[in-house]
Amino acid sequence: MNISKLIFLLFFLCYFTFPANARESQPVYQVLPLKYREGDKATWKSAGYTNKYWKFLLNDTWHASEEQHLWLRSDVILDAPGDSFPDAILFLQITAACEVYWNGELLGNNFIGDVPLDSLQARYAKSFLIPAEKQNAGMNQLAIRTLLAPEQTLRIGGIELASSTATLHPPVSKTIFPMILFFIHGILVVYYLRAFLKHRSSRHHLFWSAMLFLLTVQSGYSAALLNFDIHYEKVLSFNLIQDYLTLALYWIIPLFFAYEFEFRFKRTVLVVSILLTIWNHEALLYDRIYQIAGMIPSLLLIAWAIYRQKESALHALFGMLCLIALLFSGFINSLLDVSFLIFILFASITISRRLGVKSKDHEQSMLRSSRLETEMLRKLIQPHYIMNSLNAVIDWLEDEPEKGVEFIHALSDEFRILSRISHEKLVPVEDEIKMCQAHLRIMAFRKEQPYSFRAVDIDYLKSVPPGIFHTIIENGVTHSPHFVDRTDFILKEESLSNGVRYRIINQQADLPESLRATVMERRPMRSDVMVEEPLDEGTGLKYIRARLTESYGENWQINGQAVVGGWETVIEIYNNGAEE
Amino acid sequence: MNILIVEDEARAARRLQKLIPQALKGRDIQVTHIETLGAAITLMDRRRFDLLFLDLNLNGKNGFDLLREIVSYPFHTIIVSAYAEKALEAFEYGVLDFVPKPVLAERLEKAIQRFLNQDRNDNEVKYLSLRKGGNIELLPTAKIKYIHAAGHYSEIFLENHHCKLHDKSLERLLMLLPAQFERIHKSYIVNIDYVKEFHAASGSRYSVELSNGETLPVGRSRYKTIKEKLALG
Repeated sequence: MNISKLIFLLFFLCYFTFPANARESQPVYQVLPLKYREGDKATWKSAGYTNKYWKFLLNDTWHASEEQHLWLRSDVILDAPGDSFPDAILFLQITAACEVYWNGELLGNNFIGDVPLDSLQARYAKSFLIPAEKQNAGMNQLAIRTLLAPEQTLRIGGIELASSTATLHPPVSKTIFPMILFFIHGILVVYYLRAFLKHRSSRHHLFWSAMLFLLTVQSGYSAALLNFDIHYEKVLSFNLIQDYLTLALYWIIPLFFAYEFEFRFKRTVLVVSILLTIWNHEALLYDRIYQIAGMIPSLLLIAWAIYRQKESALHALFGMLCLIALLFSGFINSLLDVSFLIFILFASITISRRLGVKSKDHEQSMLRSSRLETEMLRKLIQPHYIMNSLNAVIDWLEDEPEKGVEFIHALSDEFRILSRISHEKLVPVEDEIKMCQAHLRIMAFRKEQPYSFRAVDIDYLKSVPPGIFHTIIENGVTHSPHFVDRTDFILKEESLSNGVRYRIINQQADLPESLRATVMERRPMRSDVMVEEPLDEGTGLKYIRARLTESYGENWQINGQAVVGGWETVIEIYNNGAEE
Repeated sequence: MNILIVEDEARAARRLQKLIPQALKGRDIQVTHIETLGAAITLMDRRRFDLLFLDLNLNGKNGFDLLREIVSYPFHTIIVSAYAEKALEAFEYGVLDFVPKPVLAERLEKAIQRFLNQDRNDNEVKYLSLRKGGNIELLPTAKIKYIHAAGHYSEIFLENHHCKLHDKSLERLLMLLPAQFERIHKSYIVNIDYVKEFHAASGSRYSVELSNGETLPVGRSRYKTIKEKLALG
């Protein structure tokens, strides 16, 4: 299954199926903002007590400088209590030991084991049963009595009401969600790691993999937190990690877009993002408006991308709008909670699309390769090449049958090597040389001119693209003048500090000085030279260039120059260009 | 008979040098072999040839440019080439025959026989090419009204009243021209498409009237054929 489809599926399961099922039977309620008061008085728990003069608990957080009692109170409005939800559950997440009172009556505490409040042994997430008869239509009073150690930070992770069928577990939607996130993150870690291992050059895959690993740990921990007895102190230090991860998101998201859309000033984007988080990190963590403001750099980048008509800019806009809508709806509290999922969803879509492009590139290169193969075959198995050769073969057979047979052997040699190497991207120099020699034997029979081929300092095991020396030699034969006694081809290998150089020298022996200039003039092809092969400088050179590019990218060079008595072609291939 | 072979491959040239005399048994022939067309053209301007055997790379524009120049010469051209697929196009420019490689003795003989018998070409020649200054001009055969013999040359009269001089003789042109061209007189070839009426005057004097009112004489021995052909047309 396609990874983005898998994520989509999990996404829908996660966001719509579970909460929707759970929501169907959820009580309709509203928890008003928490207020606090330092100290400890028994009357503060009572239903009739008015907390009008208490202060609001900012960011649901309190830091104790010394050991102290802290009371928290909130009003909970229930729309239709009792009847439809006989067994309501209060689900509390708090980083402190506490006792919970509902309309003045004790619901329970979050202590681990049978210990008193001052032992401070308490768990983070806890559910409390609110019997139907204790639920009032309209206003209900929730009071929480806590005891804090010196330098302890109290943080309210959530106060939620849910219906439950007699079990005292947190609502299923609440616990299953981090579980699913855990699995999604886990799958993605493996996916991106594999993608990185496949293409080592794609560092961004490693980056994704590492980040997703952190998230896997985070969501795994969240899942454990809600399902097992975990001390709130551990939650606190963990919360800090969560905070940093959340803040890091404000850098990573715009940076991701900067890379995705190839924005030039990536450092500026990073600096702006960092400044933004330094400016007000508290607000970015807890305040919805600030959270959305934190998206402005990303939105600006997307706007720029849309203006520049970048690919997938509209995808990005859609993803960001979803994210903002979710933040704004209050369905999620922190960017970290869910946005990662959307963000990863978006990233997966774009990256998998990019992988698609990559595989398209691969197909293209395969296509190019087969086109080059066809071109090479066409060059050698052209009807006119065969017909001209047959024309000569017939004549040799009629006049000197033995020579004719020899000629046929040379022809079959050339075609045999050709059929073996034409589909390769790189072939041993040895094969290439054999093919050149076979071609020269054929041309010697056809033109009744001696051609010689010498290989100097050649490492026969090195590989070259097929047909490149052959093409040069073919060209040399075609352009060699008719009035020389002999044409010599010399292939010379020279090592460079960063690669290898091949010289192919084409020399006309016994060429009178007076004719040398004429020979030089003849290349590139002049109209009065009759050429049977259509291999003028253009086609042959184009083929060589295409083959070299296919195997070495840009790391090669080809040059031609006149030398005494002939012509020299120089091919240089540089290291690190070869595709091993 | 002067025969020129232009062929860059020694073996192929040798084969032609062997097969041509066989086909022209008993005739007094002189065969010259030249490797490059450049050198051949220099020679053509200096010596009179009767027949040219030409190996030409017809793959690409260049080959046909050269072909157009070659067919403007007075002699006939037989192409000997491995590019058999270009034969039809070569005929359009007025080559006498196209012998594909590998060259078979029978096929070559047939081409030579066609030359000897002055058989008319049954291929669709679309252009006559002629040299004017240093340039080659292509005359579409459909635009030619009639051709008048002028010694070794021919005067070609066109639809637009222009007259061009061609190096080939009337006999040689007739061998190349398509079927609507008819020899009506020892000095005239007419394009039947331009003939309006056939006139018979007293004293067995015959003539044809062209669509523009011009009249051309019709030879006594030829009037029957012309009349038939016009009746059919």
